[in-house]
Amino acid sequence: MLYSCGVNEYMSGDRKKVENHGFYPQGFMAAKSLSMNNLLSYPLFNSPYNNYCNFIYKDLRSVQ
Amino acid sequence: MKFQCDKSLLLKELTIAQEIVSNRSTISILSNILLNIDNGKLVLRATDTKTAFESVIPVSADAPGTITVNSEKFIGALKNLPEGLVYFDLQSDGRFQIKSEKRNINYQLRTMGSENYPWIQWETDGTRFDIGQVDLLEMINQTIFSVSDDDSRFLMTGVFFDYQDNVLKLVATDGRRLGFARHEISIGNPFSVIVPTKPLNMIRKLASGQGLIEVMICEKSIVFSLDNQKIYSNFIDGQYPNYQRVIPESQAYTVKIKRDDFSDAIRRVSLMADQKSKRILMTFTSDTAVISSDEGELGMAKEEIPIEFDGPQSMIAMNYQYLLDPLRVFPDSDLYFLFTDTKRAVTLRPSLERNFFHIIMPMQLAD
Repeated sequence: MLYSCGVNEYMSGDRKKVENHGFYPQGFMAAKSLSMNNLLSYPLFNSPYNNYCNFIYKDLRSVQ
Repeated sequence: MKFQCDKSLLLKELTIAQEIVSNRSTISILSNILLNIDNGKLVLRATDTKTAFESVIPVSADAPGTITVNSEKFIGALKNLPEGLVYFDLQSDGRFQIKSEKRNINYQLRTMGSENYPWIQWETDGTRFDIGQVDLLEMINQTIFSVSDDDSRFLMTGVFFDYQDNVLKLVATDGRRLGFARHEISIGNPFSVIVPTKPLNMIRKLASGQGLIEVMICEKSIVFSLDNQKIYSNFIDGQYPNYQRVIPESQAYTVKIKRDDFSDAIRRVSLMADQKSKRILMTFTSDTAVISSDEGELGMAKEEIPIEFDGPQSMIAMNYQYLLDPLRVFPDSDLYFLFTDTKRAVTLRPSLERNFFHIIMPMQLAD
């Protein structure tokens, strides 16, 4: 599901929250706040935030 | 409180102070500047409670006193007065009168008492060292644009000052690029602190590039001292990312490019680039780089520039802003673009003798 998971849910590490989510308004806002640069640039650091960017990026591509 | 002072002398200091005065603060006194007359000197203070600025200005003083006035209105009034002497006088009704020697204008600014001004007791003990203004300015200028503007990554919203083994390193990153500058200097005990950008931007405006600047690293704050000015700032509290891990030890391929050719071509091509992703493509062959934008709804752009390169033909996608920012502050006419893989970190550096470089992550080629 596109924009299905907010950055906080993702970073919580709770797979249930990530996989069995509904539509999270805060997730939508968090994803909208990520710039295309963040989505398309390879990250310098491995971090939960960057993993989240990759998660959203794959989500975006899956519906294109 | 009564004094007179040259307009331009006072205005210069006020403009620096204005950098940290909040005009949107709900605490109205934070929109004010504190003025104190004592012993023939004007002490001017501004703070947002995390960063503070203090300047001592010699004036002709007739009566001591301390007040705070709205910074924006004070500066606005001064700016619109003719050059020359300006007379300041605190009236009995608490209004601050400003008069020019050349125009018959009379400003009366409302004041607030200084007793509630949030000037904290800044730390006075710490590791002190002097560094050449030109050296510190160069280090700041080479790194500050790489900090993150994303408040959710607050650790990256400052510049990391890392001192050990007689080398001071300044590092800034937003997680996609990294600026690095180093300077050999003997200071004392090692320290690693994150300094917000606000005081560093003030130094860029204040420092002339001549002489030294004194820096004091305290337990929770940093103090920069110039001739008559001091800048105080709290550190950003936290553990900075392990930047050393992401700096490539070596790169397989080197592209030598004329800086102006490169930056002019990027600027021209970027006009047609997608403004959300800011992605441009660079294809390197043995003697030519083709810089192009994606094919967009409104068109595309492509430009060829000469290069020196002895690797295999390679295409790399990059954020054009990440290239233009360091190119603006590169002092040499040639630059080196070093890479190993089109998906891994690129190193952008001027001549090898320089003490700074930039790491930039490429972008995905397909979207």
